[in-house]
Amino acid sequence: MPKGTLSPHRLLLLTTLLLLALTFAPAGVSGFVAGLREPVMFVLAPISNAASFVSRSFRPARSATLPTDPDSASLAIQRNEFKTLWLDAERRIMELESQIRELQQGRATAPDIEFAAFHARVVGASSDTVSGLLTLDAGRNRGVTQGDSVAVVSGDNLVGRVVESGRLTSSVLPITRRDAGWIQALVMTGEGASGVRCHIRGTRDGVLHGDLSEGAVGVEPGQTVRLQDPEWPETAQMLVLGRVERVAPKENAPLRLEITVRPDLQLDRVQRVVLRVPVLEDSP
Amino acid sequence: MSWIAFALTAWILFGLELGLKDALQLGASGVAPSFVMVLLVIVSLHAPRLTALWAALIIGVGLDLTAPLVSASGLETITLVGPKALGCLVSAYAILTMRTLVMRRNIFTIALLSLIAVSLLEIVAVFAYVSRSWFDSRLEITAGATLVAGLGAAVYTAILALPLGAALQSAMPIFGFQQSVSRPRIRRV
Repeated sequence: MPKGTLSPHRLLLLTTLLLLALTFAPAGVSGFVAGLREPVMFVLAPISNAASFVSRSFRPARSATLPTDPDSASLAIQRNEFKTLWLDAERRIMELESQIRELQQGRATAPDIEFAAFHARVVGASSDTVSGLLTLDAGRNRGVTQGDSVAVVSGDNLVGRVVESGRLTSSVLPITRRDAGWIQALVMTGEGASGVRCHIRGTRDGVLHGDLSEGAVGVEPGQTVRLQDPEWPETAQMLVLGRVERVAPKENAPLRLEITVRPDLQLDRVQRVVLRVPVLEDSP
Repeated sequence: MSWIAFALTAWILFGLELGLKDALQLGASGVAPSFVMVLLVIVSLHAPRLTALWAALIIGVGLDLTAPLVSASGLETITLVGPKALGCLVSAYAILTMRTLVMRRNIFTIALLSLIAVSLLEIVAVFAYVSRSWFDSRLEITAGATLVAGLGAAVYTAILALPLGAALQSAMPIFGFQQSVSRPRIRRV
């Protein structure tokens, strides 16, 4: 071998050292590798999309609340959508009233946020099932933005938030995953937009578990739990997280109640979702 | 080894990994089999040493790029290239060391080596993630749960390796494995 050329063994060793360096390199240095993910996912999409379609057709997301008859299910979805709109409108009215009060006090408020909604297919998941990410066939090309866009299913059931948006694909982290973090929600104990607040987080069993606010009364299994969390985008507020499955006193603090919430669908088995993407209004 | 056959097979198996893995998952436990790791075992058993190590690195980089981590805030993903690639390299090296001691054509050998390969991959990857999380606040890893899920995946992969390994064994002629064990070099004087 001529002097100065790299032997295959040495090249392998150098590659290994480079990978070791990338493993521990600061985010600023190793950040460029995220750009390699998009072309890889694009190349794998034809096979993963077909496999995902087959697997989700054979094992679709089961709904615990929708009727099995397609016509009745469609009507139920419409009813649920209108109920969400009504509740969201009530919440907006309350917010607007508070904004008017703030404006009257001479304080600035944030502009309203409009959103666009469109369907996206689940074309695959992460090769590491622990993370539970769902890959969708819509990305920045359709206006999907990280953090601000959310995915819903069956009209008003929240699937999760977009945590990565590539040019053609995006990844959604379902709310039932522990990594999605703590969520503030409202248990709908009555007909209006008022209810009992709770603080829940995904568990390994596909449910959300957490604590009810102090002095909570009237919470019963079967009641709807909706998102009301300022950390989440406006487009996700008052969407359904699931239904109360269990309410019980905490083991270590019997005077406080803990709550288990089960989503109406298996969120990691959905085939199509509706993406809600915020559209900022042009200033007049 | 024919790199075209390897690339084509890896493409199909990576597609299945992304499309089917969550459907084969046991509940919401994160325990699911790996398709590409069976390919790594087959290649490591039959290909020349250096070829097997390069193939393992390619599979590992593919796994790294298709499995982003979710940040501690839950608002973004982190793509790390290295942990799984190094894990695959360690797995391939272990199989290369063991391959002279096993019956390579036996389907149970492939299942057993798949179990070992995935276990090593998960141990190395979790070690790398945990080490990184010490100085990278974006990363939050529950090492115990991740490792348990990974070892469960190793057992599940061993079961999957029985049919998939048999299918890949029957397709071995297209891989063109000629020199399965490197012959001792004869130095000419």
